This record gives sequence, C-alpha cells and structure tokens, in this order.
Amino acid sequence: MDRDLVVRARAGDRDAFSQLATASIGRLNAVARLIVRDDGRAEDAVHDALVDAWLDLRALREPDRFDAWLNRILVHACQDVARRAGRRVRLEIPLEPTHEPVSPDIQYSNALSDQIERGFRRLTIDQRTVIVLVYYLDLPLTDAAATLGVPVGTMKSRLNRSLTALRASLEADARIPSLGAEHLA
Amino acid sequence: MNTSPDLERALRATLDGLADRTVVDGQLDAIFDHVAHRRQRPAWRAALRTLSVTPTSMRFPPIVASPGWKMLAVAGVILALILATLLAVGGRPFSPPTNGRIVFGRWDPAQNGPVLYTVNPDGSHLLQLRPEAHACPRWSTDGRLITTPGAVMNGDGTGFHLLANPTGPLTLFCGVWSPDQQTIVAEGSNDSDPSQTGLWSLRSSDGGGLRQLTTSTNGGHDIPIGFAPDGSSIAFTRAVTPQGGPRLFLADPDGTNPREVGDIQVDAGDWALDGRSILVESAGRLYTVDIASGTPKAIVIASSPDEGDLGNPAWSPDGTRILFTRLVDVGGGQTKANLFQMRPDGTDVIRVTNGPEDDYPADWGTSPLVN
Repeated sequence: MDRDLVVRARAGDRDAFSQLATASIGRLNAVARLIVRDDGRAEDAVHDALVDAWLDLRALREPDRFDAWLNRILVHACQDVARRAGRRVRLEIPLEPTHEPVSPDIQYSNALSDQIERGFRRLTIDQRTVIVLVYYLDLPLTDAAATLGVPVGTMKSRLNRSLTALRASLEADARIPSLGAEHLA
Repeated sequence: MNTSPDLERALRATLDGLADRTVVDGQLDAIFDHVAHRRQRPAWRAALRTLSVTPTSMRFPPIVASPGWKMLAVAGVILALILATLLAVGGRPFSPPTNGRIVFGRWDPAQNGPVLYTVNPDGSHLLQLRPEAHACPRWSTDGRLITTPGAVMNGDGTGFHLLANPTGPLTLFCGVWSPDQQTIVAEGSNDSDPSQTGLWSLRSSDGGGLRQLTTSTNGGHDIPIGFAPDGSSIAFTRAVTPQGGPRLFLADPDGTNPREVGDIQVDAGDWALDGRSILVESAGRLYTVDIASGTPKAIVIASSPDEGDLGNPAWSPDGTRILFTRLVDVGGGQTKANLFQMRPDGTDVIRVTNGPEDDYPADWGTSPLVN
C-alpha cells in the first residue's frame, strides 16, 4: 500500500484512488467470496465497499491504516449484501474431479480440505467472517476485533466458537463413512 | 477426526485454495464509473452507516410500580413463603442448591479446541476430565453429569459415551439439559437443508428421539441458553436480521411460541435461580435482562466499572455469585481469558483460573467440592 497514494486519494485525487482500488480489488474479491459464498453478491459487496471507501476517504485519519480501514468497510458491505439477499447465503463450490493417480498423503490432504470446506460452508456468516479475518488475512486478534468493531474478548470468544463449530462439523463428517472417515478417524 | 495439530494449517491452506482473487471483466470500470458520478452519499446510506445500537444507548420506559402492584407483590412474596413452608413440612427439604465444582474449557493449541477441566470455585483442585477436546460443557441439574456436543460423561470425566448422531448433514452442537435431565436440547444446523437449522431435542441417555423444536431465521443458528428453572420455557439466541448479532429469545419447551425478550444483542447467558431474569453477555459487558419487561441492568466489577471484555457469565447454583471470563494482560500486547467470580453487586472478585491459555465457557454446578 502506497501511503502517498492514500494521501492523494484522500485529497480527492481520483486517479490515485483508482490505483489503490486496482491494487486492492483482488484481495477484496477473495475475502468477499469467502465470507458471502456467492460470487455475484461478493462482487456487489466489493463494489459497494470501494464506492463507500471513496465517499468516506476524507474521514480516514491514518493513511497507514488504509488496508485495515478498507477491510472493515468490506466486512460491513458483505453483511449488507447478505441482509439484502434476505436469506441464507450459500454456494456449492464445484470441485474439479481429479483423474490423476494420487498418493495416500494427497488423498488424505484432499479429504481433509474437502471436509474443512464443507464445515466452513456450514458456519454462519459471522463465524466465516471471523475465520477469514484471522486465518486468511492473518490479522492479529486486536486488528480483527477492530475490523469488526468488537472488544478483543468478544473476538476471542467468537473465534473460539467458530473453530469449535468447525471442528464439530468435521467430526460429524468423519462419522459418515462415505466421506472418507477411514482416513480421518 | 483425531486431535489434529494440523487443523490450523489445513484451514489456512483450504482458505487459500478457495480464495478467488479474480477480477471480473468490467468490475473496476463499473466501480470507477460509480465513483466518478457519485460525489455525495445518499442520505439513507449515511444514516445507515451511523446507525448502531449499543446497550448503553438503549432507552427503555421506566416501570413505575403503582400502590396496587406493590400490594400484589407483597401478597406474592407471602404466598411464596407459605408454599415454601408447606413443601418443607411435607418432608422435602427446601433450600437453594449448594455451590459445587465449575466445569470449563481451556484452549489447547495442539488440538485447536478446548480441553475440559473442573475446579473448585476458589481455584483449587484443578482436574482435567478428558484428554481430547470438547466444547461448551454443561452440568446436569443434579450435578452428576456433563454434556458436550454429542456426548455425555460423569462429572469426573469417566463414563464418557457418545450419543447416537443423526445421519446426513445435520450437525448437532452445544446442548443444555432439560430440568428432569431426560432430554438435551442442542443447536442443530444443516447447510443442505436450512429448514433443519434450529433447536433439536434428543434423549440424554442414547441420543434417540431426535425432534426439531425451532427453525432458525436469517441464516443464523438458534443457540440454547437453557431451560427456565421451572421448565416452563427455554431461552436461546437467534439472529433477527442476517447481518445482526444474536438476540435473546424465549420459546415454550416444545419450541413453539418463540418471542424476543428485550432489545439486546446476546452472546451467552444463564437463567437466574428465581427464573425472573437471564444473565447475559452483550458486546463485552454483563447484564441481567428482566423477563417480564425486557429491561437490561448492567452488572459491573465494582472496582473497575468501565472494564469491558467480560463474558460467558453463569450464576452459581445458589444464586449468590456470578462466574465470568475476564481478559488479563499478559504483556507484549497479549491478553488471555481467565475465569473470575464475584457477588452480583460486583464486589468480592475472586480469580478462579490462571492457566497458560484462554479459559472459556464455564458452568457452575452442584457437584461436590474436592477437598
């Protein structure tokens, strides 16, 4: 993130903002798709977040915190689009079938990854948000808490609960033989 | 799945694999076009962004007790005393439950989950119950059993047995005991069929008799808080909007007649002994929410009333103490959650745990203390 670009954009330089948006949009797309689990609504969220960012940029007091500030706007935008959708957001992610012979280790890894993906999809949007902030964006808990606007203790509780929910989901899957429980039991 | 130190790494790898940074054709152009033509935020969006409801900003109409209501209240107290005396005369001792052991989960980084312990309320005689991780432990009414998701064990960790699990994608999570201990009501979710996401009832002996009680709304989960002491209702949290935090709800024991209590976000809670209020955590602070009026009353630590980051509250069985988590500064900008207990007026704060990791959801039972 280029601090000078942020300062220029904050002063109303649209080209500077365009460069910031271009540099950020891949990450924003990835985060929104993970949280919302629907490509179309994720694009809506990113669109809203960047437009809101442009409109609110003057209020950003610390240019060095631009990325964190933009993350926060995006999380709110994801929640907004989910609200507008008015129903549970979920998307079946198609898994490409592999035809190559794979080693047992890779089979185990793929099975575990599939189970984690299923478990992740079963989480609420709030739980997915917490996990994405901590395990995808690698934010420290204090920054993740600030992104959500909650106390650190609440963030810890939510992360704890999200992980235990994910774990319970994995354990439930592991009890179903067709899901490769023999590798995971 | 066994205890997996690799879960965190696998989770990161899975998220990296799922993450799609692709920029759709025209996506940036649409944004720049929007930016170029929008110099001012529509008023309704500005209003939405500044709209937030916090417990401290809530205002409720004061409840003014009229002389008639006061007389009725006095008559109620007298009637309760008479009933208590009659029960005692009838040979059934009438006394509040005694405070016993506390069960809680201590985060285990190697297992990416909490390992269960019990401890005396003064922090002595810490006992690890099981080697593997389990979540959200709850004592049975008689203090002899503990339930965790999909399992029941004795109060000392022995006799652990899994309850029969539903087949298919329905997942059952945290559960609470019915007053007669015959059933457990648990949070259930089914991503393939959201109509199955809600509270489910199952037999505590074997997990049979599975029955759906509620259907959650707005993509959230219904998470049980517990049955009223007299069994007349069950409290739980429910999302009332997709983007909103969970709210406090009551329903009849069979899940019918769900209704919101008050106007407060709730992350955890516990019924008061008299069944007239529920102790809750809301945004890092503790409140008792009066069932009849929905009015929240703040519970603070008397010596640090502005302290936030309190959570996971539970009443002592005799209703004289409150158990809760509090963040403790361990240096280097790090904090950890420990268990504390105090009087309801926020005085006499006692530290219960001082472990190396976060100590989380705890339940105070009547299991005899260890001396």
